[in-house]
Amino acid sequence: MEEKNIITFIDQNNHPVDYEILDIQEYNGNIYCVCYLADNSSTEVYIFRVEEVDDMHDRYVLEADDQITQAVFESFKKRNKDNFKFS
Amino acid sequence: MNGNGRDKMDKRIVALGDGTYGVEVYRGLNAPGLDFYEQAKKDLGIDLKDNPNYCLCSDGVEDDYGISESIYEEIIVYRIINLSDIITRVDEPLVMPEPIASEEMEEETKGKNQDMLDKLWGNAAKRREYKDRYERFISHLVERDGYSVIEDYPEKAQDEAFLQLTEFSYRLERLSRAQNGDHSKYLEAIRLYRCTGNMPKDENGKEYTESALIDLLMRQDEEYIATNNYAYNQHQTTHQNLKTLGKHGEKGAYYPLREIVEENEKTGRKKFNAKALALDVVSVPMNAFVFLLNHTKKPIYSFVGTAVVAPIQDLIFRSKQSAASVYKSLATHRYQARKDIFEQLMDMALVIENIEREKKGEPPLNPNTFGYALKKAFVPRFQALSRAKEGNIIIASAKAIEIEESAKDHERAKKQQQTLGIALVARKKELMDALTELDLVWQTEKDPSKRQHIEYIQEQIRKKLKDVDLCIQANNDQPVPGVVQTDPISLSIHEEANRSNITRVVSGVATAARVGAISYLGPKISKWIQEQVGETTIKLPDKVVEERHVIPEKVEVKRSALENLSIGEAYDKSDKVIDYYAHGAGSQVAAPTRPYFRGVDFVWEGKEYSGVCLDNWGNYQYATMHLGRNPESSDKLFDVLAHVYSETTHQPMTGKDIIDQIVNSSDPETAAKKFSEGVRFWIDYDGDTSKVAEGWVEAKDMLVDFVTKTSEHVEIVKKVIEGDTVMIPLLQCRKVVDPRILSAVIALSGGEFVDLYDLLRRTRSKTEMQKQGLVGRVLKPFEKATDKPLQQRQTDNVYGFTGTRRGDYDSSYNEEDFTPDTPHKTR
Repeated sequence: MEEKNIITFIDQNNHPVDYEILDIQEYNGNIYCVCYLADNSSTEVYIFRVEEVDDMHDRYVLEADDQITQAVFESFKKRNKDNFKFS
Repeated sequence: MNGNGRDKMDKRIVALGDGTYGVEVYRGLNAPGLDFYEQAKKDLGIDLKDNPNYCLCSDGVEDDYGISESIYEEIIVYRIINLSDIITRVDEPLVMPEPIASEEMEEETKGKNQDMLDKLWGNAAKRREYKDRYERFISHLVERDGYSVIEDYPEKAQDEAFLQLTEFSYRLERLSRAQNGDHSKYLEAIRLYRCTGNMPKDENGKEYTESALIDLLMRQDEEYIATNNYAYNQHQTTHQNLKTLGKHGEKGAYYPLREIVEENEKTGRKKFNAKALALDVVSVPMNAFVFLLNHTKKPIYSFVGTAVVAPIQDLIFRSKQSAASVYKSLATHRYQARKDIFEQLMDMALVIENIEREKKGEPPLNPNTFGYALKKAFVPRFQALSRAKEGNIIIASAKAIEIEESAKDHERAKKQQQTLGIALVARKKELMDALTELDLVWQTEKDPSKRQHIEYIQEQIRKKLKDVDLCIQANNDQPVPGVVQTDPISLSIHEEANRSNITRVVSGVATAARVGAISYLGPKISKWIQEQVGETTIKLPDKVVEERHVIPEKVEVKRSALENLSIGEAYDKSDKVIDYYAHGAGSQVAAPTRPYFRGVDFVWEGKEYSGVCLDNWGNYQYATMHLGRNPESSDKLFDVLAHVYSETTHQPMTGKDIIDQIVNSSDPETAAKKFSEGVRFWIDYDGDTSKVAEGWVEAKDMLVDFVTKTSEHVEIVKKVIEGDTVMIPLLQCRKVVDPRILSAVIALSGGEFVDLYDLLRRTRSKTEMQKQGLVGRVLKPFEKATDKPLQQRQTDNVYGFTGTRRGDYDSSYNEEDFTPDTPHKTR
């Protein structure tokens, strides 16, 4: 596993959570990160919308809009059709 | 012997006085009608007239090197033996003749190219052959007399050649012997260094001591063995992979070479346990397997590609599909390699773009932006797919150059070895002749003290002779440097591809409706991306051209000459030059416009060169020089000039003299006046070489219109032809780690692989680069380019440099354009 793709988030309880960033996309003016849980406890990807907080931090919010989620995921699938096995 | 010389004679020795002796080499008759000298010259091939190495005697009586006038006189010719001369001669270093040049490497190169292509495209038959040969080779790794060696077996030579392990075998044995206290192989190498006067020196320029040199060579051997043995490399890869298994994985049975050595030192076992090294490859996957059985509670597939790396997965599941090895490069590995290339291309494109912008006076693009980082993170991945064919060709082309170079290096080394062998044998003969002569002298000499002295000299010669014998033996034993491994995809890329997520499964997307709202605080995504991709291979300064001393000069050229002019051609074809600028002591000095005035300024290898030539003036050329910021630096020009004379006094001038006349002016105006009015000097100009000063000729030759590379830097001389003007070359230095970037640029922009070989060869040898013209070999493409995307892009290429247009590196891509990574059809 290449560490360079790992990003560490801080959850609401101040616990670090590691994700592996698989892709970053711009969609409708927002930036989305397509992530994999770094501990591989799931084979699903998580799509986070990136929101600016301050000069040092961004907030990563799981996209709640299913339409956007699907659009980003479809794009991710196209872009990475040779990189992943999509089941 | 014909004529009046005698056919055979006993070698008679006579004492000639002054500590010299004479060995009789010839007898002839001096008589009316006979020309003794002519006959002797015919018989001996030596002109004896006034020859200080020979003494001519009449009837055994010395005749002061001349011939008496007596009739029918027999002349005896003695070759003079001078003991001190012999001593000097014996102590002289070995004179190495020039090695025989060899350029006939086509067949070997073809073979290596094919081998490379077999590896690139995964030739199954070759893969099986490799496996069989490797297993056979390693099965003959035995311990003999306490050291590891590949024992002889009938197919050993062929296996070594196929596996490219000849040098490996030699070094393994040499190192292994040394670790058991037998340093003889290293001593042989050192003896060769001494014999040829090539003892390596340390960083202070002092010759290494014997023990220090042995240590150094042993370290080099360790490194070589560790990096040139595929089995070991795989082993190392596996070790790295094991780390992904966490603490349990790292406890795996792993014995890297260095640890073996250290362990041996600790335990006192002085054995280089290469066999354990080879066998250990087996124990590693077993360890991984046991770990998985004991620790995983999840389906194993979820670990594959992340926690479980592909090679181990391969071994566990006996899969034949996911891991690459020699002769088994998968499409995904080629993809990885292409991605690597296109990443570097992006950097190069930015450099080119910024040069363009700078020329137009526009601010350079800043790579340290989120947009660029984002682009860099993803665009190469798309290009690796959409431009797959080009990428594959680039990879193969770049490797082909390495192969060709390596094959030539290999051949040169062989020739060098042969040449040394010839020189050593000649030396041996020389010493043996000296011994024979001294023996004759010793037999003649009656004086005991002189005989003792002769014996001493003989003893010294015998020692030398022994040394030479050992050198001959060592030279015969030395392996020539191995050729490069021909896998065009580097091991690191294989590793990366193996580790990459190609085997990972994405089962779907986690929706907020199902997993709930999640929100995290994290680092700025822009900074995070920059951290990932910021450490690029190319350092891009904010301002592309910071240290230019001279405003680009515009040289008018005739419209008919607006093709790919070299710098030299541009100068030769132009009939006037205007606006020569120079910086002196912080002030700008403008020379007046004058016809036939030519100027250039450029930096080469850290030195600033410049020269301005006026029209022919007899055998001389007028020239002036560029004034650097630091006047002291201006004398760099004189490094390439033969003689400089004052125009008025016709006396030699130094750089300082000239600088004083120009720079030490009180103000720029005065300086400019002096500059224009008559601070002139002569350049001693030899011949009529394209009517420029000698230094200028050299300087011109040093300019390359293209790209050159040192080990760390790429220097780009950019020449732009714009309308009717030619811009003076602009030199850039950018750090690039992979020479493939160069071939990539060329291949993408040039439309053909023209000069690829030549240009990359320039990266190897500055000297060669300086000597050779730009027109190099045409490297044949690996496939018949029926489609011509490259040529199309070239079209109206107006760039003297590479002709790369901005559009070539455009980040846009069309998913519909993705080209499947189809097998290459060149074989």
